[in-house]
Amino acid sequence: MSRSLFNVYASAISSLERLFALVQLRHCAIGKRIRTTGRIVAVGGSNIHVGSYTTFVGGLIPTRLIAHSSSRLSISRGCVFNYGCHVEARERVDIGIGCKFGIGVVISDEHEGRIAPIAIANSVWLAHGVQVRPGVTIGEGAVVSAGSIVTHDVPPGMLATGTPVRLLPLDLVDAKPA
Amino acid sequence: MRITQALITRVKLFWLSRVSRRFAVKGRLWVHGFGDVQVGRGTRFDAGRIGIELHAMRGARIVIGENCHFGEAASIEACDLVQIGNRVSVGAWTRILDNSFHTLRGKPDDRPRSKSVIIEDDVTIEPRAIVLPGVRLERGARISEGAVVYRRVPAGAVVWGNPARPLKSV
Repeated sequence: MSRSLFNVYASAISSLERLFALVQLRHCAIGKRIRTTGRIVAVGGSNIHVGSYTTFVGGLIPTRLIAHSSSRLSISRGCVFNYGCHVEARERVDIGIGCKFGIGVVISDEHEGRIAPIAIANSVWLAHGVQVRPGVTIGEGAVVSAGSIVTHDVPPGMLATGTPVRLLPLDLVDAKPA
Repeated sequence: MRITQALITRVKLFWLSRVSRRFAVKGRLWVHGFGDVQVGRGTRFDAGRIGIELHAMRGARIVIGENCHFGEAASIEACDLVQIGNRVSVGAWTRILDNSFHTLRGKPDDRPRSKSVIIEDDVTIEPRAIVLPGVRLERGARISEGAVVYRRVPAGAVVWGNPARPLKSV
């Protein structure tokens, strides 16, 4: 396939992805150029805010965004969600700019009857299978490693590993700065 | 939709190099990427409702031995090499990957170097376990439910928890 034809093909795919996102998030308050390559289940209409340039990667399981009545689920711009994420708000869930979410991340501000808002700051990376429990604040640039269950706050620039979570500064783990 | 996907997977598997004819797929097997997938004789993919993901990127290899068993929603992602021996049982919702896809700090598109995952014969991986890059599971090891494996597991050991630690060694 020639290069120009490939570009036409790629741009067609990209606009299809954007159309697909528009259709699936049609009841939500959304920004521009949101893309998806898979299914999104968005329940809760205008309580869900999705920022511009957010990408939802498709896969085996749909990503679920659920906002109950009089709650607010806000996702800032430039986030990337891998497939099978579950974000549920009963009170308030805030997600910052440029966060990355792995496969099957569960963020829910209700657990066993306890409801407390969750705040996730900018450029946080939650690896696959992370669960965030109610009332947790995750600081800017923090990384939570695979399979961890976050029950307490994570300060900015920290690596949270294991269950129960242990905190290590990223400066120690990853010596050279970005 | 699902039937078409199943058919496409079948056709794709048929054309893949070195796939044995004699293996069983129940449900949907999602093979994608441009890499090389090898499946041995007598391997069973018990995909259930959700499916099984085999993702080999360009230049990567997924090598699966004989008489293995895969549970529902198991997912293998390879950027370099994921090698699975004979008679390995991989539980439902298990993830095996050889690259963490992002660096701890830095740009979102930065990708670290991959470290291949090698799983030897007779290993049992229970449901919801996560096997991280660079891990070597030696002969007869057993990974308990929900464990997250960061490093080598010696032969015959039973590990559990996150990070995985030994329960007993045989």
